Amino acid sequence: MSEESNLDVPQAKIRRGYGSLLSIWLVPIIALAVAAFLIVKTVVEQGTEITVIFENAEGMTPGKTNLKFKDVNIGLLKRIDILDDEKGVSVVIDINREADKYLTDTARFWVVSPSIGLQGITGLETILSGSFIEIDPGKGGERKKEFEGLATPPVITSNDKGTEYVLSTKSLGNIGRGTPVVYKGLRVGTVLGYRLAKDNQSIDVYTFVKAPFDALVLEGTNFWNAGGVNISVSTSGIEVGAESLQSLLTGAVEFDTQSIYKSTWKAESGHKFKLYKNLKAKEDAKYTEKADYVLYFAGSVSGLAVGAPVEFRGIRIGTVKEITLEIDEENKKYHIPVLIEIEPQRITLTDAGKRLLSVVEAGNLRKKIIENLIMRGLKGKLKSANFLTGQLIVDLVLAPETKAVFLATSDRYPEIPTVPADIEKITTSVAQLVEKFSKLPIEELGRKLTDTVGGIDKFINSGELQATISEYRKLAVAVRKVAESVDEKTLPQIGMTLDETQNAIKKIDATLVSAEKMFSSANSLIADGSPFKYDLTVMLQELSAASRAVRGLAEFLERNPSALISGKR
Amino acid sequence: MTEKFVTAQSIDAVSCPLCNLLVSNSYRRTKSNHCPRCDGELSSRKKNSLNRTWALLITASILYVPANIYPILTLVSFGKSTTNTIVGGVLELMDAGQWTIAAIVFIASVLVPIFKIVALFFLVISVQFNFKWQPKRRAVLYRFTEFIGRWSMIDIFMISILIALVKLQAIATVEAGAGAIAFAAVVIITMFAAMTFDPRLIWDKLGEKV
Repeated sequence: MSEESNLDVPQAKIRRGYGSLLSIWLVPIIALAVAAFLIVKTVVEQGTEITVIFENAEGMTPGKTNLKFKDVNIGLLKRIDILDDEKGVSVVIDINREADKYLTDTARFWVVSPSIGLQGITGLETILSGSFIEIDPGKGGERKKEFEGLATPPVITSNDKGTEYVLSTKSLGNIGRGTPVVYKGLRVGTVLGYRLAKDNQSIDVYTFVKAPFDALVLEGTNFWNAGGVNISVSTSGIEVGAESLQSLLTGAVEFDTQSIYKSTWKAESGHKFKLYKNLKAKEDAKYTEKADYVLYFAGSVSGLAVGAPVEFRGIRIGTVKEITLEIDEENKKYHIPVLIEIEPQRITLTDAGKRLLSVVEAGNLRKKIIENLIMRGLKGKLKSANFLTGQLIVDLVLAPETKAVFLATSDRYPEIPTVPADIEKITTSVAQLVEKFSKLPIEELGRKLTDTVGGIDKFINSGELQATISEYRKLAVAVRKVAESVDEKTLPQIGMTLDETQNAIKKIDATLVSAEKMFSSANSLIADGSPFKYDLTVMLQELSAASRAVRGLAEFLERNPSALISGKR
Repeated sequence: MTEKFVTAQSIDAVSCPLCNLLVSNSYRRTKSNHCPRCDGELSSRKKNSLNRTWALLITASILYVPANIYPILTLVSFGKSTTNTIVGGVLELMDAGQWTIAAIVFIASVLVPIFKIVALFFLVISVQFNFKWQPKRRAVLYRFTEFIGRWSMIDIFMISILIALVKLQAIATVEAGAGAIAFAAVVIITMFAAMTFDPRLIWDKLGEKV
């Protein structure tokens, strides 16, 4: 067997074997090639591994959480480690090769999860799919592999074109991340965030204004907080102001440029602006020059508040800044120094030729203008600005005829002398009027009237009158009877009848007498020329005249409330 | 080897691989290498048995690597995709407390293929290097290998059924991963390897020496 097979079978096997050997060994070679291809592909596709540090790993699952850019998967979370200092977690993400170019130092990472925020509900899709990490590649820069993740999604991404500004404010109010920036009610930007300024005294609010609206932000632009409801009770009444419903809920920053600043340059990115508390504060802020004066009021200043306007002939030129109480124990004198702030820029100055003065000239002159006015008899007095709320303002009047009394105990501020307020005069006359009213014997008059009416009533309803009338009727019947039966009836009958008649007549007489008494007394009460009637008439006339006068006064005051102070002109 | 068996080879004949007709070698040499009864090609042993088994075993071993590294299925449920490798799936089942299913999957998908590959390697090496150890036990091992071969396909069947059934688009979709293909290839190739291995070779080499 062995010889034969050695001779024959192996030959055949070898000849045929090469083909089948090759073909069978092709299988593992192909398998190896496929495996190698898979491995190479995996290695090639692996891309870069980056580390992002987050505060926590909320919603992240290794191997499942994706990294997305514009909702396209560009990577997969591989591993989550807790930092050595336990201050956060480092997340290792495998980034696809093609997304390699996004890994620069301007790239930002944040976790997208469902949230209800100022701009509505976002990340709703992640309820089903789970959170994912989003990347904003930024504008490019140095390559980097370690990043710090944002705790909250950025308000703007690098796709949004616009300019960033810094607003400085004393109080943040209701401004927060995502607060809209509006221009004439149109939403043009967003508040990115805020930070306590380096001096710890103010807050820097980082604001983004989208292009092309950022062209509207000039160096002279004013920003103010337009959010929420502004309820201000001032001398001009109660003012309630609100922007859109959204700004009511979330607050808003509004900006505008005054016409005089329209020619200033467009503000650079990062330009620092002042953020005014509200529109009013922004309006008031036009006047940069300020001069303080002190006024000493002798009477009560109840109703005068800090912030109340200071007016000159009805034009606001300043604000009440401070109200204090000074007691001079030695002389037993009480003073109320009221510190006011006058903004001279509110006054336009002209020279004799009615020509507007130049800015410099006016500036120099303004410094002296109040002093000059004081010399010419400028006096301060309290004036009621609103009859209802009882608020007072400081009114500056020219009253050279009143002697100026200077009471200042220190010369820290220049003093404006004061005169007593008109309000005191009015209060006095009103009091007098009330007194007159109260002097009228209204009660007594009323009582008398009631008595009289009661007497009349009593008389009418009393049985006597009724009885008298019925007696008369009986008499009449009897007389007719007598007349009818006089010829047929006997004399004694007549005699009886006469007696009866006599009796009746007597009775009538008595009744008539009493009735006459009654009427005459009633008459005396209401007769022309009777003292009572005269009294009544005079009183009614007085009453109606008084009410007419009061009505007239009320109507006039309604139309001209200022008349209470300034009098009827 | 105290007992003496009669084999086709020992009487200088060939058993037709198809119809098992004994044909003498002289017939093959003089007449034809084809069976006189069924006209099938005559061959004493499976052709290139060792070579083929080697090749297929190596292929299976190579493919076993991606079969375990790559996910065998991707479940996309509510936009959230979950991929699982074989071992990962077993671990997940264990985490979920499904110990029986975990055991079944582990046995069918991990133990059985490994056992098959190792057992076949052992058989091929033992024949290649003329091991004399326990031919009967090796035969048992071979039979067992052939028997369990098909069972590691349950994973593939399961994945196929899942893919066909779970097509709810957004809610849930199952996709086969690269691992599934590799794994199916491993199972099929090891089955072929077992088939191409000729167990008679175990005794052939023994017989030569005896």
